[in-house]
Amino acid sequence: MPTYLSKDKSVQVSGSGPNGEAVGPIVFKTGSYKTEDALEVGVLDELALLDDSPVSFEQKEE
Amino acid sequence: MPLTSPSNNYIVGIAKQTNEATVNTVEEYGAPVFSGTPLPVEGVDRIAVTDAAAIDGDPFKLGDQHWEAQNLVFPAFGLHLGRLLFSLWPTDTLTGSSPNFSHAFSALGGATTWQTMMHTDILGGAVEWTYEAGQCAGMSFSADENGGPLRVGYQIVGKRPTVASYTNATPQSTSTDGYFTVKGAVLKYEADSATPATELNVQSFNLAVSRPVTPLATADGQSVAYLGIGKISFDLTLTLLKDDHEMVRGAFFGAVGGSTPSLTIPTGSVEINCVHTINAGHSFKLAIDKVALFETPPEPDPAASPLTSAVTGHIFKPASGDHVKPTLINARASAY
Repeated sequence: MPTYLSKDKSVQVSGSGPNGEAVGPIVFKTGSYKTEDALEVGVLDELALLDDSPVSFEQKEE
Repeated sequence: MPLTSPSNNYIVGIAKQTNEATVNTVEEYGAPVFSGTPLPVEGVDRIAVTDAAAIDGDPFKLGDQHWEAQNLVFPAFGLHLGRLLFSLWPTDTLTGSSPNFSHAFSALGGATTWQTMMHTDILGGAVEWTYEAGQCAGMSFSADENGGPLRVGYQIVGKRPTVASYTNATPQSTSTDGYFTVKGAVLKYEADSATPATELNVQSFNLAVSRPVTPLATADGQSVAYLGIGKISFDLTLTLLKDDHEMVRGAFFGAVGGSTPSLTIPTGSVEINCVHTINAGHSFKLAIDKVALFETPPEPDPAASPLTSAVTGHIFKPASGDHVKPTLINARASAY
């Protein structure tokens, strides 16, 4: 299951799905977040790729 | 003797829809405007056939009914601004803790959430309008030497306007809530570096991020059911009180110290900061990490007017993230 890490426990993420569906807020209460929701994965993947993002990949299984 | 109705009693609301079909009946944020309103839009044509009488044919509706707001201009309010930004930058990453939460907006060009807008009728307010399933068509940010709130232009195009009641946001934004302003903040730019430096000679600026949204009618549809989303484009202009030759030389000679024609485009950076008039911990920043700043050579004026320079920014894709990166620090404790 894809797992994402946050730089601290205050991080929340809202995003949008491919048809404009509202996604989140995704709350990193423990500093990490696991999800199999395709919409959440889409948002977090894009965010984790940014250089200065507070969200990063822990592992990602296809 | 009857009195005319004034046109000042107006608040426009906005709320994020969870999906296209679910229309909001409660404002998330309501705010006054400098100008503009969502409007129902429809086309009417006339049946152009030959006729014994030399008179125009009868009219018919084109079946392209939808709604648009092309000229909304808001003051930059602390909470309301985030809802507008999220409708164009569809990822909000929240960090921080009370009372100052940082919202970093990203994913410009990605699919964006649907918005409902609403307002009461200016004529007495008895009729309430709801505008369904809108997609943001652009935002602009401008300020000049005259101060006051940062002016936030907002364009949106949506599907169906209806007369339908809704519930106001509590509270709605007002001018007594404070606002973001450039006065007292720091403006930065650099003609040939990704790290902008504080500059004191910016007289005015306008930054527009546009995304054309085209309402598309179908042969059998009575109103628009599709919205065509176009490419994002940018328009940055600065008016500077001229104090050096860096940009005008960079634009033509390829380097801020250049002296011969060149095809090289030097890239610099711009950072627009705003402070909040009430909450010292709140701020709004627009960062442009890679931009070519081209100055048109100024012309002499026998009237001895101050020498200003008009600068056009051609924005590049930066090494990471978006072309324009908004960061809003306000009191909202959850991501937009």
